[in-house]
Amino acid sequence: MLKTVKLRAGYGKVMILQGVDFHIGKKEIISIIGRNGVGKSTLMKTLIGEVPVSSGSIEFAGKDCTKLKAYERAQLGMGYIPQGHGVFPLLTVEENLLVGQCINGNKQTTKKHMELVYDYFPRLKERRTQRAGTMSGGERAMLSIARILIGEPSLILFDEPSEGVQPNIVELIGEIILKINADLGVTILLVEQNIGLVQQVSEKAYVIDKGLIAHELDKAMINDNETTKRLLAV
Amino acid sequence: MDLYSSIFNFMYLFIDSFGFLIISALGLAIIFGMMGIINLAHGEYIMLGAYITTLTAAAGMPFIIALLCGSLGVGLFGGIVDRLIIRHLYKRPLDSVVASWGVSLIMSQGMLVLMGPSIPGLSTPMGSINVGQFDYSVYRIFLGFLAIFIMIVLYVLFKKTKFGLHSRATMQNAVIARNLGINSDRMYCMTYILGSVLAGLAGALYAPTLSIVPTMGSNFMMLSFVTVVVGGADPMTGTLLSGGLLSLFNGGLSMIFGTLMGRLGLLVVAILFIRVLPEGFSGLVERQTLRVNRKKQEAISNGESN
Ligand SMILES: Nc1ncnc2c1ncn2[C@@H]1O[C@H](COP(=O)(O)OP(=O)(O)OP(=O)(O)O)[C@@H](O)[C@H]1O
Ligand SMILES: [Mg+2]
Repeated sequence: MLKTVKLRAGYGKVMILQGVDFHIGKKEIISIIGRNGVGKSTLMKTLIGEVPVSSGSIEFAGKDCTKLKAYERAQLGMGYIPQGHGVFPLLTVEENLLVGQCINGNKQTTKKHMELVYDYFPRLKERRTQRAGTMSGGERAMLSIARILIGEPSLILFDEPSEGVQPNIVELIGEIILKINADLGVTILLVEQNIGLVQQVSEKAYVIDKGLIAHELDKAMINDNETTKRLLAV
Repeated sequence: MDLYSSIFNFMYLFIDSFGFLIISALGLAIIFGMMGIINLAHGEYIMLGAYITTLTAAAGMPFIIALLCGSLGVGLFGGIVDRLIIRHLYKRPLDSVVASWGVSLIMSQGMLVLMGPSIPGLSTPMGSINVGQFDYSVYRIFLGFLAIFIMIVLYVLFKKTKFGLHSRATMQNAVIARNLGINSDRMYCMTYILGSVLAGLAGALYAPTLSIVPTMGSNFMMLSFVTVVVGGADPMTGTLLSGGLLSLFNGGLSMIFGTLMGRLGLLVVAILFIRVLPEGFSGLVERQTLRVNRKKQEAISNGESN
């Protein structure tokens, strides 16, 4: 589904990613963990195309998309949810959702998609006409997920969906991730600080450190709090 | 002057000023609001629109065709300027000021070299009506109402179409918009062309009422600039409210003290307004709607908890 080879990227002359190699198979849920500032968000931004690749390559859905622009990658079916949710504050909930329809080619959003998303998030249906800027952190998190789902992505890149969200909503997000994966067969790459959420959803996790994938954890290791604590300790 | 004719006189001055401010400011407002670019060549785009329209009409075309040529011709010109220069300056207000100032100089000097110090103008269509001791141009009243019609068309374009949704999303956050599959560069280019078409339209509509000279853009530029500053970032609400307020003062003062005082009064009001509300009308409206929304939301959650 997604594969990077010796990916180097960063800002100006400062390389944050120093040769990242990893891959995700179809329908997998994989987490990326690491300390603050190691470059988790930079990796996500490089994958969607917001940070330019300086060497190495990114392959998505069997296509080399190292040179593609962000909107072209999105139209291939990559759905990116930025850290801090990134809703459009002055657009209504419904308008925010409609913007998501460009993902995976420019097809029209049918009523069916809307209904499906409102099914997942009944709260958004109540708030259809509310401006996104007036919503709570949890509601924004849900909106950012719903907006991606409208476009039927084949891969979702989540950057810390738990940020600014209370614990019971984090758990709800975890359930939604599992449900999207099971019902719709969407592949998921999750960047998270919240180990609870990582343990709840992922089969496999990569630990990123010094610009490289430093460790690969299986389910048992993820669930072992000693291991994760040691790897994330400063 | 009796009461009836002075009311009419004021209404005429108001509508005339309103039409002028709105029609000439919209192109500038859209480019500024949507792209964060201050197009100092806006006045010269209007001038170009007036020239194309006048020359086409002088060549024997009906006015309406000339008007289309003027608007679309400037749109095309704007598109070329965007691809050559402006696209490198998206969201860089200061650089865009310098670059578009250069464009404006080239345009007005170029027109002087090309067409000389002036060309013969067109006669104002629609004739005039007499109320009290004055004659009023029907065409300028028509332009006041046309301004409202243009606003409605733009409102529908921005609020009800996919282009509008995508351009508003891009305006609020271009990075997120393109991460969601919107070609934000194309949105910017199309928005710039739309702004240019509106500038061309302003020139075309006012061409029959003015003398056609290469420097005619500066008058438009000053007034549309003031309108946009008072209106703030939202090209629709901002321009509408700002055009209304400024015309109220402009119209009233022009009626009592003459055109010069009307113009001065407009500038003084604009300065005072910006002193009190630096973000212009749209800042005020935005804060109000968010506050109302929040109150509504609180009411809903209070209702839930009861
Ligand atoms: N736009 C930018 N320009 C320059 N440096 C940047 C930029 N964005 C991030 N950085 C730097 O890149 C490094 C990695 O940042 P990044 O946001 O990827 O970290 P992160 O792992 O996501 O951290 P967090 O857990 O806090 O979200 C940091 O040192 C940061 O200061
Ligand atoms: Mg981050």
